[in-house]
Amino acid sequence: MTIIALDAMGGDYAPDDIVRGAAWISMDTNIDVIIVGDEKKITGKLKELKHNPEHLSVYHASQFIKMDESPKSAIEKKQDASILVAARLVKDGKAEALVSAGNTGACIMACAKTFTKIPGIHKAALASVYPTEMRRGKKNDPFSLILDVGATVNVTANDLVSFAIMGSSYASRISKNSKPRVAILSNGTEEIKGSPEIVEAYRLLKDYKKINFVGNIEGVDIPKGIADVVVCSGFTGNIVIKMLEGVSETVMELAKYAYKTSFMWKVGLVMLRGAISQLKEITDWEQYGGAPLLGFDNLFIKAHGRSKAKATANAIKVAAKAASSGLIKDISTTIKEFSFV
Amino acid sequence: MEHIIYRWDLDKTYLKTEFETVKGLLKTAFQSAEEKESVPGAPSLLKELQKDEINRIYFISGSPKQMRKVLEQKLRIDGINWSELVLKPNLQNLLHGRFHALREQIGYKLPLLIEDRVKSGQKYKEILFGDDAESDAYIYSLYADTIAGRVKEETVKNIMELARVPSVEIKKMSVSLKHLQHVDSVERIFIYLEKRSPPKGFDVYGNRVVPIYNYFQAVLVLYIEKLMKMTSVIRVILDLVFEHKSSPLVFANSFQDLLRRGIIDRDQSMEIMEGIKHNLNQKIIPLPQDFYEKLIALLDALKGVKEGNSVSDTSESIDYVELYAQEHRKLIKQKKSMVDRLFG
Repeated sequence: MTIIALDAMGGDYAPDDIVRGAAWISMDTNIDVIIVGDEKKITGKLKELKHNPEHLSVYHASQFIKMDESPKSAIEKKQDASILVAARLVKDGKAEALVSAGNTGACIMACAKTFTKIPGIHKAALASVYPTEMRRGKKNDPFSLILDVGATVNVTANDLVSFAIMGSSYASRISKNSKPRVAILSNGTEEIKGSPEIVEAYRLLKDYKKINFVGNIEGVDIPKGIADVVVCSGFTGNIVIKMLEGVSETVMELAKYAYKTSFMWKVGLVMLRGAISQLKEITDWEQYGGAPLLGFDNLFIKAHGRSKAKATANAIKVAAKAASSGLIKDISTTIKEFSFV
Repeated sequence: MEHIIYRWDLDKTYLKTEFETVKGLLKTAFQSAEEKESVPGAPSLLKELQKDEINRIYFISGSPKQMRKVLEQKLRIDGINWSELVLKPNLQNLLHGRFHALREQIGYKLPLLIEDRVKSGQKYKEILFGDDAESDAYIYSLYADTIAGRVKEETVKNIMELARVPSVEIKKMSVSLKHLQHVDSVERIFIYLEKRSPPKGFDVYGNRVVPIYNYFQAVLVLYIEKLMKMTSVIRVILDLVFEHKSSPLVFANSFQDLLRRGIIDRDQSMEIMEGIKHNLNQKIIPLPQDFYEKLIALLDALKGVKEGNSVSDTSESIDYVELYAQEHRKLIKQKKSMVDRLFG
């Protein structure tokens, strides 16, 4: 029995679709969810949905942080914001993990304010998943993990090493990939390529046998799936992930354009529709639900801001799986071991 | 002490029954009494209800009369004493070519309920138990408003005609209706949400209908209405803990759900919490220590939960003819999806 604190007020489709996701979970799994937010709105929505209240409870929070609000001032001013209240529930041991589709900056700040960093980790890292050519693990997972994608700007070599340890631990548990391939994102595959921090991180990781470090990779290798875990600074990672999203959206737009422009192209696309929809399903981010913020003594899964019920439900499942897998303990132990090495 | 009749539907309300698939139907038909499973908490609640011997337990089921032996045996195994067990004459319906009557519930249950009301001397208050699988909320509400005199005889007959009940049966029911003393006797209609139907769908029936997700919720409402003692509440809790492995969180969440839906108010919830805590504090009950501590902590945490808006009393304004049309459409949709599941 795993208990998840869910921020019901965060996300483009909050609270309705977030509550709907929790209702699905209550019907299909044994995961217990504490839905945090406007009690009246949440209860009103639940009354309209099939759900099992034996696995759901509601915790009132009188405020919430909007998607476009300034994270810093919002966190300072809104002490009863749903994300902060939910984070406190996790901190106090009432829940084992936190899930939110809300304002990313506010989520990170709420975690930083409420949780404690794992000893040996100086900076937390926000991960993201992206679909690749290759499949990995027992589940034939098409998704790779990239971290950090925005929690940091400047990083040291030690930060990159801790990102590698955390990402490897997470991937091995969630993708059931016992030895995930970990790489540093650089401007060349050679050991000497990249900034001094990257060169130093390469040196530190290459002899550390507990991680399946495969060296440096270039941007072009990311969609190929050469690495299961890609490590970089938050500044770089954020640019990469946004570009990957942009490319994917452009491809879809081009396909729509082709469909309208030429009859022959239209016929071609119709003939390919089975494969396209399969591809769309495989690469559907909603399947994955969310990605973790790693480095704290408590777990946070960030769901996409555009999450609807299905993505919310999957984010809750990921959170429950990560919480029950002993992820935090494993990261703590490995970081400690690495410090001694 | 008032005399109370507790009327129970059997399939899906008391017994776990699956008739949505061929496999489920066959299983139900050929199961022995020992193999039949009760809904968690239902037997223990019934045992508490039957403790007062002046009360009656009346079962009405859509199961065929041929299943009487097995069903009676099952009730005996569970330790239930009943006053009456009414089953559907499905073989007779089949032989007379009344195929519609095989699935139809309104035309089957309503005349029987009215007939039993007249027969039982009409002195009883009534508490009814049904589920969300078919039309129990509708039938029970119509029954409650008919015996209270809020629904005219003509309207009832009109609905019976819409339900394609044979005219001879309607005439028979008219006789019962003539003997009916109009008393507002139905206190509560509990609808067990076996299919987890959204509770909002029952608002139309007003606050007399209480959708419940488990029998712990039912026993709490009965306690608030002074129809049960706290010791009965505790016994139902124990049954759910020991026989069905219910966790402290299940109880706390179920409790919170009642509070949020406005079925119990803040004062009542405090009374229940204190009652449960007091009884558990006596430590007469052999609950595991960690279970006990967790439950107390979770109940204490509920003190901050706000009481929700309760459903208003709409019994004066229910349009049963219009609701029948809605129920009928719902049933056709259900039957279609059932056929799809069976043969699709």
